[in-house]
Amino acid sequence: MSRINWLRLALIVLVGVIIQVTIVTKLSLDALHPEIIWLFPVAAGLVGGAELGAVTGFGAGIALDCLQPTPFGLTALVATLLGYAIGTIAERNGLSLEGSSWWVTPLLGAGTSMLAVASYGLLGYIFGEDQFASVNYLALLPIVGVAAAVLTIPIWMAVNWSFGERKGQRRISTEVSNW
Amino acid sequence: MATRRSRRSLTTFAVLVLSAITLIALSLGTSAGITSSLRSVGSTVLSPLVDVVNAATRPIGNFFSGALNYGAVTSENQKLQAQVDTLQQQRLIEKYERQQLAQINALQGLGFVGSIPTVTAQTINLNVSNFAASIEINQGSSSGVAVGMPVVGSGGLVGQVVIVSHSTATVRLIDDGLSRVGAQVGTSSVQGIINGVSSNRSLTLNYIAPNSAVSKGAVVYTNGLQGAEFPAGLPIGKVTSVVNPQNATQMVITVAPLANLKSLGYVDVLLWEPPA
Repeated sequence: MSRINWLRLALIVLVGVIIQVTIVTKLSLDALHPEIIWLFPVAAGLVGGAELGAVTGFGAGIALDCLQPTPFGLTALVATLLGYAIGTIAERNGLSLEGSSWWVTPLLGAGTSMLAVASYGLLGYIFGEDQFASVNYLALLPIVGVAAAVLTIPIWMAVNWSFGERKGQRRISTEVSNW
Repeated sequence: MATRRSRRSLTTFAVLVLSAITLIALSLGTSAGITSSLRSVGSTVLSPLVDVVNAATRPIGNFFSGALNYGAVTSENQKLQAQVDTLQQQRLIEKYERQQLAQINALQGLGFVGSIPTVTAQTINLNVSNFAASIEINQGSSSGVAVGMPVVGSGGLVGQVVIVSHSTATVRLIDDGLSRVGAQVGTSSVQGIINGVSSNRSLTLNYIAPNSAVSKGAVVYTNGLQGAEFPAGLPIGKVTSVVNPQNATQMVITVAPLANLKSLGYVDVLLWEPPA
């Protein structure tokens, strides 16, 4: 991955973080809002593999941690784990979103985002943040899931663009899995 | 080749995870100053961009916010209209009471109300994170707002500034789980720590020895002890329940915030910084 690709990816993640804290937080229902930040490590993991997923997750997480009054590093930890896990699964199984059914990408984005939010709450609780247990997850998870389902494809396309290759050219595996 | 790449990515992953865990441990431990500094640096870098986007998108955000919460907005509007009528009646009474209060404050040496300069700020965003009780206000370092400054609303203490950018700041509310405020009950010598639990939950007053003189309805103030993060005498809340369990090392006391944390349209930031 060249320097220009890294710069593009950093720019995309930066824009994503700023959109999260400026616009997405205002789209709240019952004081709960979507969280799009998890989609970046997922997309990076799928496009570039485990290492890129982990690095993207860490960078996006730290940037968001700077702007939120929550334990510093917690978003980075969960996003790193998420990016690495998705990247590893994608590498080992030769998974790519290219050629997959139309519903796979939104479903993947929704599922991984909800998993990330639940993991964030659980890890926060383990680290001693008792208040994380009292978050209304039954309301929060659907909000996060629906927003992620809508935004997965644009974010995945943006991350794909950061590689500077035409859509579909860059793949983890040459074999496109038909999920 | 694949193995080498896999090993490298595993090493990178391990380093990143360890870094994140270290940062979390530092932010939750006694070395929170380090992560606070890191956060401050990051916030300083990112905040100009955030400010620009915030300014540009505020109308859009407000539109969506209003659209998504239309029912609640309509209902709230009706309630507010009723409140305006009531408040207009109360205003004259309060004006008289405020004059009296100013005199009492001056007499009792509670000069902080008048002597500490304040910056009035409008709340522009509620709950910056789904996992923290916080608000975002439209005043930042350009108005003299800094990390650690207390924030008050009508009724009493609201929270503390935790993140500052050029034109906005994030305030951790006192009902947030990370909030800790040194407190004293009324004018007595009973001192403890007010802890937030989470949004919609009462505060708890901890470290009060069994059989201390704490009664339901008593007002709790910031104690302003040496090194405290808040000046003395800011009203925090009212004691709502007192339980004195047998063989316990402390009483179980809950406190309801005096400030209405659900309706913080405007707040005042006290330009008072905790001693270094």
